[in-house]
Amino acid sequence: MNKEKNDVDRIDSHRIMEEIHREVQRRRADGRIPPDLEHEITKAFREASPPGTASGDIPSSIEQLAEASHFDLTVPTASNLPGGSYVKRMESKVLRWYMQHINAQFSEFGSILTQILRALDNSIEKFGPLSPAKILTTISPPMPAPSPFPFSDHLIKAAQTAPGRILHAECGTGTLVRLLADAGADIYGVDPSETATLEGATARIDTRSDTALAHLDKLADNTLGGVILSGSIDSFSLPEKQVLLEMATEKTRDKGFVGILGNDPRVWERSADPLVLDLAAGKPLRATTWGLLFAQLRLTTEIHESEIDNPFANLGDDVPLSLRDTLQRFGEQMSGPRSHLVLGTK
Amino acid sequence: MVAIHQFVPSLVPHDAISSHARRAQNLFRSKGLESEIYTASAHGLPTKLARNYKNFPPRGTSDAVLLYHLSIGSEMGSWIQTRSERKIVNYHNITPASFFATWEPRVTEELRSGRKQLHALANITKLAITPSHFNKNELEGAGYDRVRIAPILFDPVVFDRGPDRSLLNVLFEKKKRGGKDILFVGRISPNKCQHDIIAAFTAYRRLHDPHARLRLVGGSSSPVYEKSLRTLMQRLKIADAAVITGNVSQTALTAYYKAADIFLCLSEHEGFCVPLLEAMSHKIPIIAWNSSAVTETVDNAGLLLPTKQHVIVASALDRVAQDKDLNQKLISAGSARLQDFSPEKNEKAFWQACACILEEKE
Repeated sequence: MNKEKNDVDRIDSHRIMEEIHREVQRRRADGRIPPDLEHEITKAFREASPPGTASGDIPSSIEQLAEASHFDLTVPTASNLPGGSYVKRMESKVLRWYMQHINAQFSEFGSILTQILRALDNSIEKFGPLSPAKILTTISPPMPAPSPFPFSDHLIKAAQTAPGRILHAECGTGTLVRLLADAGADIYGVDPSETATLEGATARIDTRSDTALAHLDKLADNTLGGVILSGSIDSFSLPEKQVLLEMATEKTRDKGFVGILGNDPRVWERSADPLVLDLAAGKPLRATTWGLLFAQLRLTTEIHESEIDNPFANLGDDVPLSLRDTLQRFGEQMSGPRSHLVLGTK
Repeated sequence: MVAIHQFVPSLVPHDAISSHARRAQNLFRSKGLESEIYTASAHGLPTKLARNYKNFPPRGTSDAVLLYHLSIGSEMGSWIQTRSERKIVNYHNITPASFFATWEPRVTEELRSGRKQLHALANITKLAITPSHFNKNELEGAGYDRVRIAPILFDPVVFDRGPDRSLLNVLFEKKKRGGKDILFVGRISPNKCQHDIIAAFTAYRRLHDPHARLRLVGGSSSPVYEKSLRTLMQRLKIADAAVITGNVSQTALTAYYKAADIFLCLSEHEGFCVPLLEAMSHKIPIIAWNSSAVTETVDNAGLLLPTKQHVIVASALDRVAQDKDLNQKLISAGSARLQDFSPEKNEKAFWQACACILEEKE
C-alpha cells in the first residue's frame, strides 16, 4: 500500500499554478482574455443576488424591490393525486378575488416604498457635485504626487518579491510603472487622465484610463501581488482613504504589499493654495498615521521618509549671530519630512 | 455490558453524518458493546434505525457513554449538557453563521446556538473526536483539551453502488456532443460558493471550451442563495449548460460521478468534505480552492488553487482537461490518497479514540 503511495508523483500545485498564472498573463497581454470578462461575471452575480447579500448597488436593489412587489397570481395546479389538479384549479378560482385584493395592497405598498427609495437615491446623487473636493478639482489642481525616486530601492525590492501582478493606481504617464517594469516587475498602471495614460501607452508602458476605486472594484479579491496608491489619495477624506486602502488590501494576495506614496502634510500646508487649505475634504496624512491605518488592517508595516535637510544647520562663526539665528529658524521651518512611502505586507 | 449510545439531532438518508453514525453503531456492536442511535427526527428512514432521544432513560439510571454528533445547534445539544454520563463529542464542524447572515438569517440562529453548545460542552466532555486538524484547531480554541482525529466512517464501495442507467445514458449522450463535464457535489450553501463555480465555469466556456457542461449536485440549505444561482446562470447565458440537480438518489449520484471529467470545489468552509473522497474513488481529477479542511483532505491528490480569480480557475480547468499527464497524475494521486481512508484504517482510528474513554473508570 505504501509502495503504491510512494510511486505516485507529487502534484506540485505551486509550480503548476505559477505556469497557469503566466499563461493567463500572456493571454491577457495579447487580448485573448477580454479585460472586462471578470467584471461582467461579478456584476452578474451582484445583480442576481437579493439586496443586502452580494449586491451593493442601490439602484439595482430598488429595481429588485419593485419587481418583487408584484405577485404572480397564477397558482401552480399540477398534482400527483387523482383529481388533485381539479381541486387546486377550483380553489384558485374561488380564492382569486381574495388574492387580488391582497395583491393590490401589497403592490401599492411596494410601489410607495420604491418611490421613496428612488427619491432618496436621487437626493444622495445630487449631493455628489456639491462636495468641496469636487469644487476644488475645478478651480485648483491637486498637489502633484511625490517623486518615487527617493524610494525606488524599497519599491523595487517589494515589487520583485510580490506574489503576482502589481497595480499602480494614479500612475500618471507611467514613470513608476516603467521603473519597476525595467527592474523585472509585472506591473501596470491606471490613471483617470486619458491624456496621461495615452502618453504612457504610446511609450509602450502598460497604462490604462480608469480611477483607482472603479478599477479595484472590477477586480476579484486576492488577485494582485501588490498595489501602489499615490496621487489624489492625499486629498481624499479620511473615510475615502480608508475605503481605498481596505479595497487595495482585499484585492492583494497573502504576502503581497500595499504601498502609499504620499506627501507629508507639513509640506502640503506650506505649499497649497489657501483656498485648497480651507475647502479640501481631506489632507495628506503623516506616515505614522498611515502606519496606524495599516496596522488596523493587520498589515506588517514599514515606513520610509524623504526629508529636506536644513541647509543652515551648520553655519560657521563667520556668519553674524543674529543672521545665523534667523537663517537657522527659517531652515528648521523649511526642513523635515517631504514625502513618504508606507509599505504594508499582507 | 458496557454501552455507548450515539445522539444525532437529525438522521437523513444519504447524509454523511447519518451514515457515519450507523457505521459507528455496527463497529461498537461488533466489539460486543450495546449501542443505539437516538435522534430528534429521522426523515425518511425506518423508525427501527433510531430511537427518540426523549425516551432515553432518566438521569442517574444509565452508566453508558454518550457520543454526541455536533454540527448545528439543537434542542438535543442543550439536553445532552444536562446529562451526567461520560460524554464524547464527535465534532463535524459548524459553518460560521456569517456565511448565512445575509442569505438566510433564520439559519444563523441555529449555527450560533451550535457554537454556544460547542463551547458549553467543552468542560463537561471527556473527549472530542473530529475528522480534521482544521476542526481540531477549532475545538482547542473552544476549550477542549483532549481531541483525537479520526476520519468519518464510510465505505468507498458504497460510492460505486451501480449508477442509474437511464440517467447515465442521458449524460453520455450529451458527452458525445463534445465538451467536458465539470462536477461539484455538496449542498447548495453560501459557504460552498457555488456562485464562484458558476463564474469560473462561465469563464471556462468563453475562453476554452464552449461546449462544457456543469452539474451542481446536492440539496439546498438556502432557497434564497439557490434562486440567485439560477438567476445568475440565466444572466450569464449558461442555463442550458449548467444544472442544479437538487437531492439525488445514490444511484443518480454515481451516474453523475461516472460522467464527470473534473471535480471542482471552491468551497470556503469545510470540516472534512466527503465528496472529495467520492471523486477520488470515481477516479476524477480534483481542482480545489485551498481552504479550511479541504487542503488536508485533498493533500497531494488535487490541484490546489491559491486564488478564485475566475480566469485563473478557468485556465486550471483547461490545463487539467488538456494535459493528459497531469490528469493521470491527479487520478493516481487520488487513488493513493483514498487508501489513507480505507474502512479498516478509519474504523481502527475511530475505535482507538473511543476505546480510551470506554476503558476509563468514571
